[in-house]
Amino acid sequence: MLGEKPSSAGMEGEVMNKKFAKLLTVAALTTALVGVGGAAIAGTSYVSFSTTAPVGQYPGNTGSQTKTTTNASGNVRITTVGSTYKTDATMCSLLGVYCGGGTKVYSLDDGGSSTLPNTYTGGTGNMVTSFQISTWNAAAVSISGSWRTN
Amino acid sequence: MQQWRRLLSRELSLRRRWRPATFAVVLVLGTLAFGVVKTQNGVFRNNFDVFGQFLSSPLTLVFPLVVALLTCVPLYQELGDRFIVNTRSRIDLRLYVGVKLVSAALIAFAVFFFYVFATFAVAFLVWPAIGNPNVDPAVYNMSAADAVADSLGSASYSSLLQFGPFAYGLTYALWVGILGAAYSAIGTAALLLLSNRSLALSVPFLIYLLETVISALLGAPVLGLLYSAFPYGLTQTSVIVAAAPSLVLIAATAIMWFRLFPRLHQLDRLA
Repeated sequence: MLGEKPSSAGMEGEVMNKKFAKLLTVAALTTALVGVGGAAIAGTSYVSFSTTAPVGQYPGNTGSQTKTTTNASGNVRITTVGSTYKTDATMCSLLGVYCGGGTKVYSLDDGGSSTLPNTYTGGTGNMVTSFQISTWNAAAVSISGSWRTN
Repeated sequence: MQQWRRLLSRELSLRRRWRPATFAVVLVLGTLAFGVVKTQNGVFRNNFDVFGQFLSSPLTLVFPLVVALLTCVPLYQELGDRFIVNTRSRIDLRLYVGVKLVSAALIAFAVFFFYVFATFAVAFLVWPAIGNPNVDPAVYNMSAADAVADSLGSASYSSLLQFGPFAYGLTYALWVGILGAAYSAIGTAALLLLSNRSLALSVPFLIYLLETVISALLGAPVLGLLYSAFPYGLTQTSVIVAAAPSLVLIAATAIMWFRLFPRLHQLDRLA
């Protein structure tokens, strides 16, 4: 009937349906993003990256690669680090969630390069290099270069 | 002059100042413990990297706040107790405030000189003596000689390493000690000028943080006060450019005190 308020059970059902639709959308987007990030790139060739390290020494990550050889050190070549900042770098797995198998290298500057010592197993996917500005940064800092897991 | 010396030595006596002495030791040990834990996850190209990482602790971010809490709390308490008001009839106000200012500055200088120099001694003397753990220039595609040469251009002030590690360590420790003294002088002045004592203790930190953030947002982090004191993690600039922000602050602090001193008797906080 026009002007009649819908019952509270009906409203709850509608709200639940909307929430479910939102959840499905978020899940689909997340899957798509992880799928793109996790695309297997063999780790023996240098791959370019461009990332941003957020304010307050939070890490910024490269795109992912699949590790080829167990314990083999990776390599990173820095093209630019924004402003006059320097960056630390660590090889991490799980798209940057776990960095315990990587050894951190410090204070890489424009044009700098380093190996990336680690103890990860060959065949591990979703490997990234995680960059953290070497000092407390009050502004986000862009970092570009290339890297490989090996 | 004799009264000045007597009051200052009383203010500085270890019995009254055991807290700063204990704090200095805890600060150094804490920094070294923090640094040693950090070194387990990383590899360094040279001993300057070790030194920089030891000093890159959260303390760098709150340095002036630590200085103020360490050196200005006695004055903070005495202002709260209105001790100065009751003392004015027995002691010259300028003498009293002068002793407070100088003792706070000397303590800040001593604590932070010791902090930096002890950390330097561990990085440049103790670390090599125990076999330079986690120092491996080959990881950075460098020879040992390259890594030593690289340290001269690693960060602002590190060019002083050309005069030898000891000259660098001593000069840099003096610099951080002087900055500690400057921030204690700002904290002391703020306590005399502001009615809100807690805010006054925060003034050195607020100046330090805001100036650093504004410089970074303007794209010139090297002009930040934080990096003027602790330049690790930024590319090298000349000593004078790196020191400039702090030198301006020191000059402004000195001018403020020269203007404040003759007017002490007019201050509401001391009336």
